[in-house]
Amino acid sequence: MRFSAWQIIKQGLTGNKGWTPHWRSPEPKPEYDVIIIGGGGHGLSTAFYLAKEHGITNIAVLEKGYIGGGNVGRNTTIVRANYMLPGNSEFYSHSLRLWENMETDFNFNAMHSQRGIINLFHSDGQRDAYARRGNQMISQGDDAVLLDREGVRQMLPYLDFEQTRFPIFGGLYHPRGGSARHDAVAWGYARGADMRGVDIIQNCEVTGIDIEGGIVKGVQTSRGAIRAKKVALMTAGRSSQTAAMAGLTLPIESHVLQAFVSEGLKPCIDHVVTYGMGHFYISQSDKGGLVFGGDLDFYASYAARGNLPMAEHVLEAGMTLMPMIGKARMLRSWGGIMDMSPDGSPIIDKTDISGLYLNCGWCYGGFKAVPGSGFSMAHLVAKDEPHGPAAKFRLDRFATGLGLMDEEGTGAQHNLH
Amino acid sequence: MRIEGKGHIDRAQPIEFHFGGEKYSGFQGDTLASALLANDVHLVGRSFKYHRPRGILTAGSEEPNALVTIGEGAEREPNVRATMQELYAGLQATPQNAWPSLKYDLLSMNDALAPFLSAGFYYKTFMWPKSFWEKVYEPFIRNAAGLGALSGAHNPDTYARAFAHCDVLVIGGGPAGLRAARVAADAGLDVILADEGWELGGQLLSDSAEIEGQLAGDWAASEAQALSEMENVRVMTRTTITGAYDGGTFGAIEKRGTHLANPKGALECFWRITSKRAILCAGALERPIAFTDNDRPGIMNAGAVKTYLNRFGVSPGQSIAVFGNNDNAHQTARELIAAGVKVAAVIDSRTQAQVNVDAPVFTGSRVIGSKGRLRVREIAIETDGETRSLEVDCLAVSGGWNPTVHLTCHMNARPVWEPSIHCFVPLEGAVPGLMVAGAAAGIFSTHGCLQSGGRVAATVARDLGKSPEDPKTPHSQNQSYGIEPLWDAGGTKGPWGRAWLDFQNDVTTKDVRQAAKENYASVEHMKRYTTQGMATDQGKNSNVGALAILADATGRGIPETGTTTFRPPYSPVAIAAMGAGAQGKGFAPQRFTTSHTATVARGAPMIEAGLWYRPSFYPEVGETHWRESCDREVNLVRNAVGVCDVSTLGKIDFQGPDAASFLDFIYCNTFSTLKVGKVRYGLMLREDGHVMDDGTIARLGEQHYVMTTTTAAAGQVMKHLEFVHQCLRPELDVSFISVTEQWAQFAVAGPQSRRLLNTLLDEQINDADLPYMSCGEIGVSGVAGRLFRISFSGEHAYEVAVPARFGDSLFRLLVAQAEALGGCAYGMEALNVMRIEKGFITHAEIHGRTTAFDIGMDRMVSQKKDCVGNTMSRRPGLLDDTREQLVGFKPKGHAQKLSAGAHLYNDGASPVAENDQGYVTSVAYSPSLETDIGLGFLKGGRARIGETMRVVDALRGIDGIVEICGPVFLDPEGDRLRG
Amino acid sequence: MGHASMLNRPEQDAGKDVWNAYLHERANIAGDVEDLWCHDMGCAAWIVVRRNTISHTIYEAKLANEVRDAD
Repeated sequence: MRFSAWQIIKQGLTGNKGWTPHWRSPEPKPEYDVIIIGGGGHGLSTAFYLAKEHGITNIAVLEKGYIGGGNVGRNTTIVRANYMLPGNSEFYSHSLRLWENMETDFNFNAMHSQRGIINLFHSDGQRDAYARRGNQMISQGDDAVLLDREGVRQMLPYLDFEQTRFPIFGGLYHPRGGSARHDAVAWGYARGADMRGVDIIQNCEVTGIDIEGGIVKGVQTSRGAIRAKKVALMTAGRSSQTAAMAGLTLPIESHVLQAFVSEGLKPCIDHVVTYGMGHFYISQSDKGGLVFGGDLDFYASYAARGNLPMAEHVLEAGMTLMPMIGKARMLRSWGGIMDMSPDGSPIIDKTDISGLYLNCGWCYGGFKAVPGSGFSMAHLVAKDEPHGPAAKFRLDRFATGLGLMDEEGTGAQHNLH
Repeated sequence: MRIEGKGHIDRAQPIEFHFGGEKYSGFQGDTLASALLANDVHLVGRSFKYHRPRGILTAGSEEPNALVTIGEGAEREPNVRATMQELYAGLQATPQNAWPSLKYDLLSMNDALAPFLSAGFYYKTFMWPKSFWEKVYEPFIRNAAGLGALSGAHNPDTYARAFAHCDVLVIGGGPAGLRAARVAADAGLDVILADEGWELGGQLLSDSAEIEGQLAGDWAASEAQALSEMENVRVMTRTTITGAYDGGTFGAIEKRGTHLANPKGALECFWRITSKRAILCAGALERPIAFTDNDRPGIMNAGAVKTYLNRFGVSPGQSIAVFGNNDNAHQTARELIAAGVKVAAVIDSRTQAQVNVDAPVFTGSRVIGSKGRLRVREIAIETDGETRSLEVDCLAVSGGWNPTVHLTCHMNARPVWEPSIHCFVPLEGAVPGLMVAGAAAGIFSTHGCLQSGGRVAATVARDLGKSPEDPKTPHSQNQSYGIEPLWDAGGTKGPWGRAWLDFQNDVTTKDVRQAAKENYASVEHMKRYTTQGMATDQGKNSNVGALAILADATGRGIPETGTTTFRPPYSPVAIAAMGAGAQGKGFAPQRFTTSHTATVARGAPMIEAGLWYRPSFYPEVGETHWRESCDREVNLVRNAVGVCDVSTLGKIDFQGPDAASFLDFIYCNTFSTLKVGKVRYGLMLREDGHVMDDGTIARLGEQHYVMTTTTAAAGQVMKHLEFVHQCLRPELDVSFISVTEQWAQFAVAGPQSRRLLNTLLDEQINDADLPYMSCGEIGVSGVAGRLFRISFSGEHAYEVAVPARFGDSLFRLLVAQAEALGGCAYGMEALNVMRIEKGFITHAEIHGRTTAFDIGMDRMVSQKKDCVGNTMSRRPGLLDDTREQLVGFKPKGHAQKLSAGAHLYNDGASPVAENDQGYVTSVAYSPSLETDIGLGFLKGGRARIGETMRVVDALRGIDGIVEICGPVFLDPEGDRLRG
Repeated sequence: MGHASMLNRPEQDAGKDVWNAYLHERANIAGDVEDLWCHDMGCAAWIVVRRNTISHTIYEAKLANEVRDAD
């Protein structure tokens, strides 16, 4: 069924009884060409692009719980292409261009809103670093504007320009950045993949990976054994557990990141704003809630929940930056499991096991990468060769030191990215 | 209407308030909700999607409909629950989400379009034409979204945060909580009893039950009094426990001033309470029954009707019907009758119900519809196979009780379905150290709650090593319950025949069934797809009902369908409260140097360097632009002498027999060869082989060294040193400590620097005493200090250090002497110019991705010893020839600006990412060379000295040519340094 | 900081695979682990914490330099 305003009218006039499942709930077949382990944003988009770009449809996406139940369902919904280093720069640029056509591609409104993102800076040194970043963005074919203090004041008059601890010097403005409805992205890719013949198998936990003679043969699951010629590991915060099933140890540490939403309010924040002197970023969803977040809790965790000190620190940053949000109330807090890598940048690569592919290390930046990661992963799996924009996301870069992408410059410590 | 002789309100204190522009009257002890109901006002808001009229549903914090804005101007607070807002004189309340008025709301036309606005409709449309999403559809959606509005002004109120510790935290001051607190306190434990209301008592305030012969409310009051007099009990009213966290920590929000017309001090306080044990006595919340048009104003929870009657002396109607599936609902009817209110009917869905109420009774029947746009005026009853209508102006509904389990699920647990009472109860042990008592555990009688609270507290006391007496439960009633589940009573069909689950987000039973049909079958999918449970009540009024519908629609039982995740906060918490103290300057500490006062007095603009404040430049009279001051300062330093406060650089004192070995391990170069009285530059690597920081080591004695770090990395280095010592080399006998704040340190730089110092030092120095890169202890005007001959400016220079308490006076002395010699004080701008002229790097260059190889210091990494970072620095990628290497830039051709952040391309190449050759990190105008100069990184830069490159800064519109040169622009031989 | 494996720093010449594993690879267990924590806002002590990454239960905490000395 194709979604459209006409469909809404037609269904509305007939009691809304004609809506059909957005994806099937098939029983797993005994064999597939490709198994994707992980029904999150990246896993679902990979399945979609394998089908759409490469005509490979004999695919199963195996999801332990319900699709989109991990980080894609829990993030602060920011979409942007403002990375600085080669490797990241071209990848996110490509991903953003996919975002701009995504809804048409999969016929689902993900409410992608390019409302603009402003990264504030608070010293000359920070400004210079953002200038380097902004110039990289422009040379990459993306958009960036360096705002001075008055420029920021015109766009974001509600910030504290007078009393705040760290004065606002200006901001790097990326007009094509913005936000989207995160669940809808997962659902759109799922529906689009399912429509093209991909089997999405929920409540199916992979318990083992079968390998013979260095070649992947299939997986063991809570719903039985399934054979496959190719297997893609796309389990984000759980990557180390799935990789261990193949005898691999990854350079990944799983951490908790908290995020928050307020009660619904009439529009007051029209952009995505990030603070430069403390980890804090905020935007307002189309339903009116302020969506904001900050840094990791810093200890390794699979609990998907955090503690008060970091939650309070995030809100402290909010209060010094934009004290008008003081009377907004935090309605809900949550946490996810972030697969942190040693340089803060992801891994999309083959492994030493033939037919086994790895996609992980997105830290807390994976949402904006959903289209790009799926597209590049599909290319890698289909052609067994890396996709250009993702070619630098090699697993061996840590061992060789070649092509590290440490955007923050904090070094090989997983929880510092 | 107000009922005489009922309620705990103070009729001697009438209060005037405003709602929606109308003036009303209430009493001290009313909430806004009870006062409005007393004035027969039921219409208080509009729902989110369809803008249907909404009335007060509950009497508690779970209220989904009666959300109003309190106050005006900068103090205005949106989304306040009228059921929790205590009335005060002059209260201004404004309805939300309705325009132009509550009665005539333009967007109520959405309701007419309801069939086209079913669950998830926005995912299926608004996509064409593409440009319309951002230009037309989304702005409309955003403006229609949200409930209340922020004022847009900076928060003007004070908020606070505090900490508390106790043995037992009792959460909830109803029957179970009062008993639990009493028993725990009697056993000798330190108890905190927290209740979200302003009066302890919970359900007892709504009941006409008797406890030990007293009215429940009176018994509660005397217990509360007794507890408040106990030294080991802290009663916290108006305090909601918002979350359970690790380590026995609980978050809590205390309202201290929101009930006052003129609050003083903090409006709210956010608490972190750490307790050894906790007892959850948070009671239970009533759930509605879904039937067609069950959402009209005047349709309320039966327990809430009872609360308004008994606690506030208000009857929400003059002809009230009661509809329920349990015995509890009958009590509301009985009490209304006893108070003289007409009960039009009691409708009980259970066929075998025993209804002892003196009113028309319909068993085995159900309400299946209602009429009345702005307030219910008629209900439809399905009874005995036919439909009857009944005129009412209020309907009290009871679908049963849901124990308030939320806190028990904040640490990943799910509650357990208890089929005998058709609700979820807490999983035992879900939060370590927390036990549950009373209605929160599924015990719904007064006697049961009292008993439960006492017993659990006794268990907790024994756990904590006390010997409590066996608690004697006060005598009271054991009311029956007898619930038979009824999730959807049904009603008329047709596109506008809807039974409501989530009243705020307008989610109906049809939406849940449609979600199931579209295969959003997991409860999480259903919630996110329909938005059920995502409103400000977080599903307290709809979760179980929606879950039951979903279970039915997907052919599963309720336990199998499961619940969504419970997360803090239990009730929403003001951002200003959790972030209290951080507004304005409170966000981070401010660090000031000892020369701060004198510097500010000279009119120097101050800038932040991390947490420190440092002067940008020292303006002279007549100077109008910072460049004038900066150029002058550079010239004076290079030709006479300048003084600069460098106290902010990290200073770390090392002592011990293994100090030298430790330094050898920390730095990539060698320090065990450093002689006493000498200073050496040091390069510190991270274990991943990249540069962490640079600085100097001065050897003051046999086993005594002082390290300097950069200002920016001081904290990071200190943490790193502790890690290395404690975790990697604990066998080394060395002690070290930060002395950054203990010593005030000043750079004295320029050809006249020694002459200047000799006017202040107790013993004169000459070049032989103190050659370049040496150090020693000296006396400065009788004060014991240290002198280092090091230079960041490239001139003959020193740094003189005295204990911090002498910093201010030494600074003033130094500057006076400098000025007498034709010099000056200089700030960060000049400091930066001079170091760029000399090619000295800062964290603009060592930005965390730089290696020793990149900055041309690879040979400093000694291969004769191990050190942190040594092995990893030899990874092929870190020594690659194509890496970007440190070089200098000079603009070529006519006068041209350089800018930091510009990128480099080969001359003639297009400025696109694939052609990128490097970038500029630092730029300054050099008064010495009369041109802009810059430092930065260029691929294979060292082999490209002399080449010309294209430099492009698209952000600032700069596109020019630069010449690549070495990074040292001035005095590359260092003659001035050593002179 | 990550896993307490950071305490076992390899010899300078242990080879690139050993070093790569030390600095980058992690067992990253969902369950009982030995972490390395730092009392940042206090005494700066480095502590080996035996804890559970799913429940956040803390079983035991020892000063890192005592653990190292014992090895």
